[in-house]
Amino acid sequence: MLRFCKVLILFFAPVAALAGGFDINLQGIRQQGMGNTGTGLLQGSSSLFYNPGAVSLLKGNFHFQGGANISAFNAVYYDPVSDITARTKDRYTFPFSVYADARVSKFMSVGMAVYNPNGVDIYWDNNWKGRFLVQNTHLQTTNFQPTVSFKLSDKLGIGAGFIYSVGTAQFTRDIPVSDASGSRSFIELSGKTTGIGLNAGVFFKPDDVWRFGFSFRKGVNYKIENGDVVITVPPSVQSFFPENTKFSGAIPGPDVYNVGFSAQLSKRFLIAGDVNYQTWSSFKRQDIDFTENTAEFEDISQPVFWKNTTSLRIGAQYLRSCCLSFRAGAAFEQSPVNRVYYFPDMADGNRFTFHAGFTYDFDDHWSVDLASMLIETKQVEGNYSPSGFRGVYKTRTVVGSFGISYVF
Amino acid sequence: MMTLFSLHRTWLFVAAGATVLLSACEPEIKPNTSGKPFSSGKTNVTRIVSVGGDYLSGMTDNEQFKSGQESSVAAIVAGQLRKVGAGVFRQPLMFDEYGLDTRVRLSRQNDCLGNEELTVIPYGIGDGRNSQNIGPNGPYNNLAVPDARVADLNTNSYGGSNPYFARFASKTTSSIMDDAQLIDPTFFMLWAGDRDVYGYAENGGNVGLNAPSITSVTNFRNNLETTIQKLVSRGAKGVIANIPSISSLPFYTTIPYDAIELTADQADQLNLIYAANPNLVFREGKNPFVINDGGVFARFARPSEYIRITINLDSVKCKGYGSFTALPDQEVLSDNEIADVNQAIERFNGIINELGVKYGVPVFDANTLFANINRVGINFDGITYNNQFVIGGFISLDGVHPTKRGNAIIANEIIKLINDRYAAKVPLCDINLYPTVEIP
Repeated sequence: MLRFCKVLILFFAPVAALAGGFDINLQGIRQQGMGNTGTGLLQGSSSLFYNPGAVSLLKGNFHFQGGANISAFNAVYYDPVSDITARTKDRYTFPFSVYADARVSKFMSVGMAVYNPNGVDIYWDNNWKGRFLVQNTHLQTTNFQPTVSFKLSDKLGIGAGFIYSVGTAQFTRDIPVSDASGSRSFIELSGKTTGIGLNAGVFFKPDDVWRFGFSFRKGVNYKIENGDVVITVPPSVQSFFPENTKFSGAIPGPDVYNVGFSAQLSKRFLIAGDVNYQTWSSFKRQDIDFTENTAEFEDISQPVFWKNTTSLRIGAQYLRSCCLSFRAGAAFEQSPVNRVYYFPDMADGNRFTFHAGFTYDFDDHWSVDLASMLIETKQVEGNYSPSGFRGVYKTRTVVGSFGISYVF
Repeated sequence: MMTLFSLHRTWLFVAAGATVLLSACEPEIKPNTSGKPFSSGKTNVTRIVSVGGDYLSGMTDNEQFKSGQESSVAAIVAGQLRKVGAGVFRQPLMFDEYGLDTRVRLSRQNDCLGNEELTVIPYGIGDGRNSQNIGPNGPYNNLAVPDARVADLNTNSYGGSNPYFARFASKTTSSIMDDAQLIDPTFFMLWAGDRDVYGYAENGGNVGLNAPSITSVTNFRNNLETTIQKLVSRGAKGVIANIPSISSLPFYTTIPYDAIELTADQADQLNLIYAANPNLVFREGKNPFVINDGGVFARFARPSEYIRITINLDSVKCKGYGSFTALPDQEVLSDNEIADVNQAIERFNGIINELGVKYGVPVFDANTLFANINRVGINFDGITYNNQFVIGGFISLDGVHPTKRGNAIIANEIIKLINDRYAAKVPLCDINLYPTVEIP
């Protein structure tokens, strides 16, 4: 029989990526009820996000809006050639938004907005087929946006805000090494993101019926410096990985161009529409730079080649009585994800979204806003061609939202 | 003003919203996008038999043992075929992970220079129960037997010369094909002939006791044809696999021909010792192994020659094995021997193709699969596999037989062939569920 002696070995290099940026689209409970239209709408202080130009044209001298959401995301993966299905674990996220603005002179308003613009939370089943590409991805970002808005005339407002963004990102994937007990080896990257951006807009209301808006948001480049790297492998191969490495990387958020209108068709009935164009194509590669490398552990540059997208939104509002208004809306949102670079931490497809909401006004100042939202992605056949990982994906997100508005 | 009623209604809405959320209906993939339903197509896979040598038997890490058998190529293919109507695929499973005690594993140890490294060592010795005769529990569907050559498939009383068959043969007098016919197969997998040439190659081209010569072409053809005739005699369909080239196997390609590292002093010493040998001039740095293969003088290994992976590297590093002491013939597969092996594999594969065509049995080109994995690597589900020893993920610690995941990769290729040639739609397996080399 054969006999064996000592042979030195080397090890697999893990490759990793960070999450793609996803728009959360939960920045205003009232707008959420109307298909996330908002560029051409006056719905209170949340205009700080949707169109800073509108803020100075809001009725009243002080506005506050706060919103809280509970969002449940589920994705399913199906491989038709092996008849294998995988799902994401149930994850609930709680995006929020807080807005306040005040008129400081006849022509000028100032405001502060805090909201979660981008995020993703995908936790695939343990042991799923794609675990060597991604096991978990988490990205949560919060923007702080001090804003100033000028009322150039009774019909025209402009405004702009500076965005400072902070957040957390985390990514886990399995490393293809196992010991006799089959315990899992993996790499986990985690870090804090920071970035800056800009939000500016123009709002025009020529008469009592029509409102038009244009806004532009400069994409935040979510940078991670000095992120933590945890590598869990069997002890005998630890020496193939650096002992204390950190990483840096970035996730480029897109520039967003919004055009919108609304029309007060009657005293009770309002409709709105929005078109958004987003320059996701700046997200070409996911680069991870480790401070320490070894022959088996190198920096990462994964192609993703996202595409620019357009979204179309419509919404309507019906005022039933003095104090109760109902809303409904729908939207079609193109997916930026490239089907031949479909990385499963970005499980996404063209989305159809359905919205409903209502507001109850307690008095002239206080009101409570509720909304719910269903986001369905079309079934997508994706292939991460650099790794040969194919499958069919579909996602569903259900959101329930609660908010408070105050005007004085 | 807000009434109690409207407040109540507000909370109803909240409750309704919460209910929708908690039920958070999961999305479903519409099945119609996956095309036609799974089926075995133009084959009847009710009773499957697997016949051959090492590759279908679940041999991995130099041994046949329980978990390896459960992840054998034959078992994985049969497991997927079960989803399209195949019956139970019974295997002559070992009782435990020791097999017949020649299994190897990785261990972290110090070498002779005191450097810690990963080393292949014996796995351990079991309690002997794997040699118990389990023949009466048969018949078995997996009749691929480690070490069996093509001629052995039709040899009566073959258990007498092969303990892997002796333990589960239905009768002491039976041949492997006798037992295969007990199954009355409707579908077969045949992957034989590897041992007809690998045995010779693994012994460095030495022929003697326990060191077989290469099977003759006539013998190979006759026995393979007899085997196929028996398998198809009652209308069974199947697949036949060919033999991978040894250039795809890390058993031969891992140890470089010039792994002798010398200081200037050591080179001078060796030049003194071998002063009378016109073949050898040593230099500081890398030098080829010194081989004694029957010539008047020892010689240097040539770049194209293979040093067996089993060579004792401690002796090489610290005892002058391969330099002060020349390597014996069996440590090396010389150019002539490689040529003989390559020619045999080429001819055997030619015969496999020819008989495949003659009997309408599609040929799984294992040789090309192994070569592709060796040359460029193959990417599956996020991992690139190649034939590098240990780290490549495809070949196990013996340097010849695939890992369990390697078996899964092969099984999927066989399923693709079945789907293609029999208009079937058999689902592929999830290869990532099968482990690669176990790391201590």
